[in-house]
Amino acid sequence: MMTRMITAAAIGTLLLSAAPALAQSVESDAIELKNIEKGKQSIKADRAYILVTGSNRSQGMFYKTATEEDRALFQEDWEEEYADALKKYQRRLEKYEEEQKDKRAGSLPPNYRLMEKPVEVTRENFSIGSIEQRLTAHWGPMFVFDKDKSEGGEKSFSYLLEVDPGEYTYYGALFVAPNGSTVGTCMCMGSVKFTADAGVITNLGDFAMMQWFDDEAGREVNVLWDETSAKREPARPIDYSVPASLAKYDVVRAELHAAGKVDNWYGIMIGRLPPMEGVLAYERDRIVDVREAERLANANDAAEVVAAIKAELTAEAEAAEGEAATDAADAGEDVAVADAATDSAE
Amino acid sequence: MGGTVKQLCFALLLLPIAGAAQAQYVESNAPPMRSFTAAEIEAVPMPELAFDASEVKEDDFEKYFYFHRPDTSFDVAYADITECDALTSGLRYYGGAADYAMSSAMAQYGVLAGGVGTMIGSMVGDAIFGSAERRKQRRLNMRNCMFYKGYDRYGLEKDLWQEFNFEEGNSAEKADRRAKKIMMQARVASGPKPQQEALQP
Repeated sequence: MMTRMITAAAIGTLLLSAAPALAQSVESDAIELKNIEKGKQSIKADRAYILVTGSNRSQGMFYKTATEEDRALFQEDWEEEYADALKKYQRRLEKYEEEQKDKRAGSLPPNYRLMEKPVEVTRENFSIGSIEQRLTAHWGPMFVFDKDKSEGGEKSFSYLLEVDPGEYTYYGALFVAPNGSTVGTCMCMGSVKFTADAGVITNLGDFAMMQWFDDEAGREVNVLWDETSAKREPARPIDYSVPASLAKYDVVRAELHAAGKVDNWYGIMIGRLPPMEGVLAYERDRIVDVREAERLANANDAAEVVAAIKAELTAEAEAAEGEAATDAADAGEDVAVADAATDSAE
Repeated sequence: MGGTVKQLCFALLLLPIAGAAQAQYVESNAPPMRSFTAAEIEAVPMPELAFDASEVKEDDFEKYFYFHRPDTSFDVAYADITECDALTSGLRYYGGAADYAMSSAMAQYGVLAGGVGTMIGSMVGDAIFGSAERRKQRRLNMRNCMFYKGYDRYGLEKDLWQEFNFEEGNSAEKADRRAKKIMMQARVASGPKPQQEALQP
């Protein structure tokens, strides 16, 4: 699976992460139509698939939300690496103490450069990085699933990324060189996430072409927006067209949700996705989950309706009780009047 | 509407209300905000900000600037600048309260407290970008991050700027100096509103 990517890196394409090889990862693979046709690859019921389309080649990265299982594995690695770091620290400390002893004894050669006292490794200050950084999946710019050209000459490219089922957040459009250096912008201060279910192709459409927002939204995310976006095409909604070659598969539109902040793992440019109608908004740098806000607003509306109905029901019940009391009183009066009439007749 | 129908509606409407009491914001994973005493804040030197604008080239403001936001406390300004500095420099900040403060351990052990990819990514990255590009990247990252947070940007004369700011090219600013300068930046950002005109964010 990763072999194909490593080969690509070796020939100068741009795929691999800057992070060193880590045991824990998302298993991902770029699916290509030609390989499906040859029977080398297939759409499996227990794997998830993310479809990215566009009028140009693209590349980018997602990270998976860690599950309980992911966290357990991470903890195992953490303990192992912590034990190693502790040994390393103890060795350094012994060497440091030896040097100090020699210094006091005056047995060090002149101009001997003493080592600094090592910082103690503790469970509190030890870290192996974030779990999310281990759970990344890349697509593009190579290994296109399918490409096409319309009669009008308009090109289209699609990428189909096979991943572990789960929830994925868009990290950004990264350009990773074979030597591990990374260029690009992370959506470290606001992004979107979606669920990719097993056996289903989750369609992001041409989201990555970044044509779905206007200049006003662009200015909210980049102080140099007007200087860098002069030749931009007019904004248009995300195009969710599905390549004909995927017609027989179960393709669903990705349901996007607002996602929170994340570290700049590769020391690259930082940014955030522009506000997205019905999904993502900002109050300064605070990220608003618009979908949740709308759900809450609907719930509040419903609560108001419920309160109104409840008030009406209560009023009706009280009115009914009042009427019943009046009827009873009237009946009592009638009986009294009848009795009086009977008495007077007698 | 008949009473029975209303009662039915009432029962149905109760269903979606359960669980509605949730925040509309994405939960913050930033470390808890540090709280400073008045004495601690007072002990942070307030940098000199007055300069003769006629002796400074306007282009210099592309490199030498500082941030300020009205009605902002020192604690908030410190948290904001620390977050932007960590993001800009590729230090670990979110999801682990202790990490950002552990840069001294990071310096000695490399992968200990910093993000694994960060260190390697930065080092290899420098081979491609060069120091000047990385300094430029830092400036733009700080501008964007502080802009998101609603701070205004003001130009400053180079020598004054250097008293409480730092550039990062091929080598990282030392942890103790970084911490000291961030405190001073927070003092400025939460201090009196500058008299000069704000720059483009």
